[in-house]
Amino acid sequence: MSNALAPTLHGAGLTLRAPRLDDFEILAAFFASGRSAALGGPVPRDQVWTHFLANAGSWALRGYGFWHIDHDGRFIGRAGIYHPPNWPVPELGNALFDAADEGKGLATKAARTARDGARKLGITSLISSVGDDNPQSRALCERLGAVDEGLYETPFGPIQKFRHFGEAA
Amino acid sequence: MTHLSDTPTLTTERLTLRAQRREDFERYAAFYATERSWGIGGPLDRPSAWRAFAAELGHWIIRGYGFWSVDITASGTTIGQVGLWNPEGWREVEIGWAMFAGFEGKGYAFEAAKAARAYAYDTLGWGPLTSVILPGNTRSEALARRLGARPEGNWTSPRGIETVIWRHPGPNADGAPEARA
Repeated sequence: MSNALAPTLHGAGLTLRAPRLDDFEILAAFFASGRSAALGGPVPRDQVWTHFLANAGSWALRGYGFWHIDHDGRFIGRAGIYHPPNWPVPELGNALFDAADEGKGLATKAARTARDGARKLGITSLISSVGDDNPQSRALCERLGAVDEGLYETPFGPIQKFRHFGEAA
Repeated sequence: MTHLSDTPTLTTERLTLRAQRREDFERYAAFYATERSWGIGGPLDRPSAWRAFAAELGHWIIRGYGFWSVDITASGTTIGQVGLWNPEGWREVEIGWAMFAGFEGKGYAFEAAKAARAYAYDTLGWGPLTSVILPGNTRSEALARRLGARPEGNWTSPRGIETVIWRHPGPNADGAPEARA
């Protein structure tokens, strides 16, 4: 429907598309699992619903948000631009829901497609924040060619900043 | 900016129900910052209000219906919101409403809620709807009664909040006489 707002992107066997209602159960299962710990999980189901809607609404309010990733006809994760109200700048983020999808380069492909999509949406500056406890995320930033800009202050304390493109504000 | 182009615009004698837009957020956040918002999950700080507002727009995208912003047609003043709301885990769709400070007691909420209900019945083809009201929210209870709704039973929401389900008259039963006012 034309309300869906997020443009569909295709790259390397992946489709990045707008969220839709039947994605919710998979998203809720991921956020109930230990795999969501790096994103602040586990998250109760009703809060996942609010975040799910708020991400869809972000596309209307800000013109960007997370895309949902399809691979081989399955909804496997999300990648896109994360910019909650208490976060200083838009940020590239991604998550694969199932450990079985790791190690195949899918996260890198999805993040690269989302990064390039962000440029096309007119975003001028894009970073990723990487926690000490997340070497996978650091490695992904390095594979994408992001530049390590050192620590910066966030609502959750100092975090390592990698810059994908644009100038620091 | 982008907008929700599929959102229908509804008009009543005095009011226009239209798609929410980014410019509505300041009034929304101001409303949610006050105790007046307790009946609909408030008060909320500004980041939480932003998330709630984004979720309301997202409800249109994901469900295809949701809340409208309500304007006084003659002045363009935005006075509140009314809509069709269906969070995951709820039993069924509800008609919800909130009027900002200074716009109660003028029949605006009644007029707007009637229009939203008529849209649900006439355009979407739905049956008798509910409103979920916190016990003691006397203004909302009075509005529900005026709309012809009656308390049907208690219900604990997925967040563990005790509520009362009010049942509106159906599409072909115009409800209590005052609903025709």
